[in-house]
Amino acid sequence: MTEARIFAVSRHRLTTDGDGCTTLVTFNGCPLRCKYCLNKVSWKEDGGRVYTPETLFEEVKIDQLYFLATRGGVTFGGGEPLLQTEFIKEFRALCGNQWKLLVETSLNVAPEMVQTADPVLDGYIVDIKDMNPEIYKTYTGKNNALVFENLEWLLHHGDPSRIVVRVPHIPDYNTDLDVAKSMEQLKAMGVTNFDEFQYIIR
Amino acid sequence: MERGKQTCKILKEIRQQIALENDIELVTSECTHKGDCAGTCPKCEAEVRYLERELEKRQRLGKVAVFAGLSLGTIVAATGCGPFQPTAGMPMDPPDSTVVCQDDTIPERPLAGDVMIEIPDTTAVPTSEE
Repeated sequence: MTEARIFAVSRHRLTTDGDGCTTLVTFNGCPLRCKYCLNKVSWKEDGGRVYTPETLFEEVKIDQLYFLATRGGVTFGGGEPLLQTEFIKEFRALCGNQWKLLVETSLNVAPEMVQTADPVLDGYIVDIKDMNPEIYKTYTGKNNALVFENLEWLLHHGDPSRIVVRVPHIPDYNTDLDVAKSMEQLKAMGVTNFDEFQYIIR
Repeated sequence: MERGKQTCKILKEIRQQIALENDIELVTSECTHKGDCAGTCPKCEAEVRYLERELEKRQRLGKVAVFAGLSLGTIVAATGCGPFQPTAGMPMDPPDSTVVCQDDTIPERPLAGDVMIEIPDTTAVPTSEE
């Protein structure tokens, strides 16, 4: 039986994590260590609560009516949701095709994880950090070779409009010029939907 | 908890639209609750369950449930809840709203991917290495 650790199930998110009314499900476990991570609790792989796809489905189906009415559904975040592709696939089998399933991902995972999950997903919200490998590594602790590879694959295996790439201005790590360069590079790759935004340190 | 009240208002409007589209009588009353609002409550949830039962009854009679795809943008405009304006494409937060919390402040409005929970100290978590 597939199991995963989930540290939060957040209901009634209205256009925050995708179209319509969505429930955000956040997995423990992440390959990155971003300086300004919003959910550092996800770094603890043994934290959260253990779910099976069945127990998660039983919990979130309470909002099915809202999902269907607004063309919303479940957005998987974390942590890195694409480390849990079997779980997501089994969840899709339970919820059917009417719910929208999205992932908020860094894409910094093995390509087979992306390729396994892609058939059951409706969309991707990709936090690209910065396309410059040095900036990326300084900010996340990892290199971004897999990010390029996975993004290329997604852009060539499906509608590019199912992907929103978030390009952050990261204080002390990149400049406006770096962000512009990232955007330019991403456009050249075929990305069509962008969300350029500012990390604000409080 | 102003955000909770706005969520409540929008969800109520969604329920009313579902009832209208499916010819279900749904009598709602103005919420008079004065305290914290999480966006939903037992009364709101009871309305959802009522709608589900009514839709099931109609389906047993061979009627197909109608979900015309309510536009949250339209509902938001109708309810006057400004902060949830979607952007083009796949709606996200407005560009300047993604916040990184480095102190104890929990933002009032959820950010993309942020579950808005108290985050325990994770300084003991080792940093991954290449």
